[in-house]
This record gives sequence, C-alpha cells and structure tokens, in this order.
Amino acid sequence: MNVNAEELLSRIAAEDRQAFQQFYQLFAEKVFNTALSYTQNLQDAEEVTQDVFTSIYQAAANFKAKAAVNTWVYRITVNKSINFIKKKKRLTLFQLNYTQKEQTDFEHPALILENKENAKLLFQFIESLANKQKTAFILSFVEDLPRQEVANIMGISLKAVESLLQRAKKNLRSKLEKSYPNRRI
Amino acid sequence: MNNNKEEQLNNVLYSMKGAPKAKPPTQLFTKIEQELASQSKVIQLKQLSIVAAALVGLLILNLWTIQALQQNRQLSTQKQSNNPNISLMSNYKIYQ
Repeated sequence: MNVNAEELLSRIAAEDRQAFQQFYQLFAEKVFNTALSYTQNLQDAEEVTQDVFTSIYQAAANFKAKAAVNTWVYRITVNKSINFIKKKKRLTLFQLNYTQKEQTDFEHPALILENKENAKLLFQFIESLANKQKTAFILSFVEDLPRQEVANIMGISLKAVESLLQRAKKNLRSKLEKSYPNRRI
Repeated sequence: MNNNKEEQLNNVLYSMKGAPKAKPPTQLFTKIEQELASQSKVIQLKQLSIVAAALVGLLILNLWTIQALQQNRQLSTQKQSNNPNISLMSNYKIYQ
C-alpha cells in the first residue's frame, strides 16, 4: 500500500486530481477516525479531515520518502487535531459551558450499544490527558497501531511511547476509580 | 469484588480496541475539492495584489526621483541667477 501511496503522492504533486481522490479513499477513514478521537465531535472531525487533505494536496511535493506515507499522514492528522482543539478552546473561551457539555456527551458513531457506555466514559477521561499521553493512547488503543509506528509518528523512542502509555493508563485508571461510586463500572 | 472492578476498569480502558471505524461523510471529498479550488483563487488574488503593490511602489519611487531632480534643477538655476558675482567675462579690456 505504501509504494502505491508514494506514487500517488508524486502524482498529486503534479496536480493530478484523480490521484488525489485515490489517496483520499486510502486514508480518509484513518484521518477521520483519528480526528474524531481528538475532537469528539463529528463536525469538528470533518473540518480537521478537510484541513488535513488540503495540506496534503499542497505539501505533496515536500514529502520525503524517509518516513512511510502512513506515518506522515498520521503525523499531519495529530498535529492538525491538536491545533484545532487549541484554536477552538481559544475561540470558545467565553462559551465554556457549551463546549464542556458538547464534549462529555460524545458517543462514537460506529460502536455497538454494548460498548457505547464504556467508550463514552473512556472518551470523557481521555479528554483530560496531557497531549502526548493522549496521542500515545489514541494511536495505540483507539487506532490500534503498532507501538513502533506510534513512536515514528510521535518522533520519539519506543521506550518513551511505553512510558507515556503507562502514565496515560495510570491517570485514566485513577480517574475511572474516582468515578466508581457514581457509575456502574 | 476487586477482580470484578479491575475487569470493568479494563473493559472501559480497552473499549475501543478492535472497534469498528466511523465512516467519513460522503460529500467530504467534494468539500475538500471546493476548498482547494477557492484556495487557488485566493493565491492568485494574493499574487495579483503583491504585483500591484510592487507597481505602486515603483511609481512612487519614480515620482519622487523626478520631483527631486526638478527641485535640484530649480535650485541650481536660482543660485546662478541670484549670484551677482558670476559673469562670463571678468576683464573687458581685450585689446590692452
């Protein structure tokens, strides 16, 4: 898939719209789902996905084969998602109640009823993690990526990813335990 | 009880593992194409405005230079006409 994607990227650099559509079909689901895990809002995830593919189209010529295309696309998505959240927080500083309510009500659209409650709880607490822990957790346990790829995307060592995941899980556990008396976990 | 709690905690922590993916909206690619088309128009307008600004800058520089040259000429002719000591001939007794 990567060879194909690289070839598509070089065609996109030459402004080939058909190649761009093929590239979109290859990566749209990954980009959209990653953005959804960060923004926890369908419209925002759509906006981030749009931004990611616009950037890919414009930066296709700058892609260096040193990294895998998959890693490059995920890296752009993570950065765009984090920047989007920062920007949104700045913009809605005076409408704090609105954003908080919107985020805690998030339900992943693809989940079956059985997992929905657990995932809702998980996303509520993922939100409170520091950015690096959040990225390591989302890429590993939501996107199901191998640890080495997570390390490549984040530009850190495998050991650092493991340590981030341990801290993320510890933080999530303590938050879930605190909410234990009030919830049926 | 504790084992049950631990299991439930793990159920929450790993609730997204292997979960089905959400599908992006079908019209999203069209939106992206529209965005790209509008951005290329914006770039053209941006380039045009840069060219226009450069032209205006050049025009202003030219006008300023012409004005400065004219002022210089006026000053030098004024100096010449105001100075009584300047004359082409200083000695009129040619045949002495």
